Amino acid sequence: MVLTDLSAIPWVVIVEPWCNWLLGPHMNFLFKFDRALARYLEWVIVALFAVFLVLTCLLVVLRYGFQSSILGGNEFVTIAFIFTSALGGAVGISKREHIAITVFIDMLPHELRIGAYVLGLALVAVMNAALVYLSYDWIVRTGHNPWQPINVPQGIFYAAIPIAGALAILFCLLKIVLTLGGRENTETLWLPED
Amino acid sequence: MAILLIGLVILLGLGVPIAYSLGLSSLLYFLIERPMFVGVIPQRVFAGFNSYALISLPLFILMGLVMNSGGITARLIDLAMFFVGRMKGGLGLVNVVASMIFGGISGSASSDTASIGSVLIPEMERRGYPKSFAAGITVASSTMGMIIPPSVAMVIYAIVAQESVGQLFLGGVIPGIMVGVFQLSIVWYLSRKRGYPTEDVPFTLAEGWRQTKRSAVVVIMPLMIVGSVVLGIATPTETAGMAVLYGLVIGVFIVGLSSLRELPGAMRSAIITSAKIMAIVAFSQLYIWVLALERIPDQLADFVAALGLGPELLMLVIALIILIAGTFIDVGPAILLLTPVFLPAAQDSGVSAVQFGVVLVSGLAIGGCTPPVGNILNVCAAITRMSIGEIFLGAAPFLAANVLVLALCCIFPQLVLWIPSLFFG
Repeated sequence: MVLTDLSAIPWVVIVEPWCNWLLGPHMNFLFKFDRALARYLEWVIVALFAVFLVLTCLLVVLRYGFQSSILGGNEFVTIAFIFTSALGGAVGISKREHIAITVFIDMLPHELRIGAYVLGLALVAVMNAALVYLSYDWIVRTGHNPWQPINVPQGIFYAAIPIAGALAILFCLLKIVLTLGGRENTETLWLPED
Repeated sequence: MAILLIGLVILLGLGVPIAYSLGLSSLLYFLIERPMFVGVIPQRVFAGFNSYALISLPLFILMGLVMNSGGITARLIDLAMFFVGRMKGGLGLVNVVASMIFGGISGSASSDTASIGSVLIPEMERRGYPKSFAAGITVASSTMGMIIPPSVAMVIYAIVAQESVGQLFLGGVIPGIMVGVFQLSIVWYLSRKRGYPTEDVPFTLAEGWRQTKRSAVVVIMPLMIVGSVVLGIATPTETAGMAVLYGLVIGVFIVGLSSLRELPGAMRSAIITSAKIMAIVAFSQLYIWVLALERIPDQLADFVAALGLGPELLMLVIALIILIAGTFIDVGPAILLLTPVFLPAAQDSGVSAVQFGVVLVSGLAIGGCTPPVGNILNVCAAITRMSIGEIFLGAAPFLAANVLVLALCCIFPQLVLWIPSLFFG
């Protein structure tokens, strides 16, 4: 693990001691919480993926084998996909699996790299906060309309955006605290694409 | 518009994930330029996720992962060995042929590099090939994984451009085969010049039949996938789902139960890979919306029309931009960023969206093998523990074949469009 001396960055000089004073005793808990929440969400995502994989195949078999279908099958697959993608985006922050161009910040001294990473996480949190805030009005206005043909309020599906946004904010904050607290491996900031 | 572009460049440079760079720069644009539209942002992001066609993305990725198991790779290498192993530089030729077949199964260049490279690079080194040659040909030949159908990159482009996945799959056939044939020629020429060894492989009818039988269930998979999509038997999403099922059946009967045990891990990997592309797809809706509000594609089309470039020259210029962009941006994000900007201008000049897509994907495949952001290079570096520069130098002669095919596809659209025209008119 690369522990970080961030003293070279002025704003970190202010933030880091506060961060450690407030959260230092809880750092182990936060570290475990971050990992556990990400793992739990991963299993939810894999389960949803399994459901829509099986349903997709089942719909083909039913159509060609039995000239039949499942009412709302395609819609359910789409909804499961929306939730897996939105939640996966949030988990990607914890696992640092989002696609980023790190070639330029990799050229910076280590302390500045970490500073840029933390600033990036803060900006990601801001974007997600905007999404959560703006989703409220949208869902209140249009969420009661039924999603055809399954006749379920559309707001339940729209909720994927603020739920994933809130989780993304949580993961960003955890990552910022854990990084400033020296609990994160900072050799690779964002993993390259598979 | 300057707010969007400058904001995007600064955020990307700061290492902010591409998805959120798009979202943040668009948010800033709306807050400053068009605050009345800010409330629509979550709806546009949701619309980005809400697509039945996009569901094929994690399924195609999972299909590639399921097929990417040791037993299946070994069979494909044995089959390629039977056909070309006895020639000069046999293992180099096997590398290319195996990549051509594997590209049709995995749909991804990185998994092609990982699976074929981990077997063939050490073997080539043991047989006296320079390591940079072995790594170079592995990296360069794996680009066919993106061009030869089925291809995950083509699926992403088809969705962004709202084009037929079937036409794009068929459009990649001739360019993919040409890349393979040109690379085989370069390997053969260099091997004769440098005296690389041949392999001692029985070349009999019985052996040919045995190898064909062993690999047939795997080799027919891309044909089934393309056939299903092109003939309209099932949607790309359903086809990908059935392909996963088929891959699992093959995996269990050929590789054994290990492929079932690896399934949860493969599913996790597929959905997270898909999710990070989907995050870019969702936030790129905002970027595309800004481009439309500012009429950027129209202005670019007018500008190109005023220049009076013919479609061939225009495509060559766009191919050059694609090559440069590909050195910095990954394939998926590059497709999402470049398509809405350049496709309308290309179409206005008479270029088909299918030709544009094949040129885009083929160009970005080369970008995957070039520093500083070359994911195929990264995968190969992880396998071989070589530097990215060394691998790139080894790959450069073979990538010349890719560049040549790219230029030919720009100048002669029929190389791309002929096969789709046979099926779709």
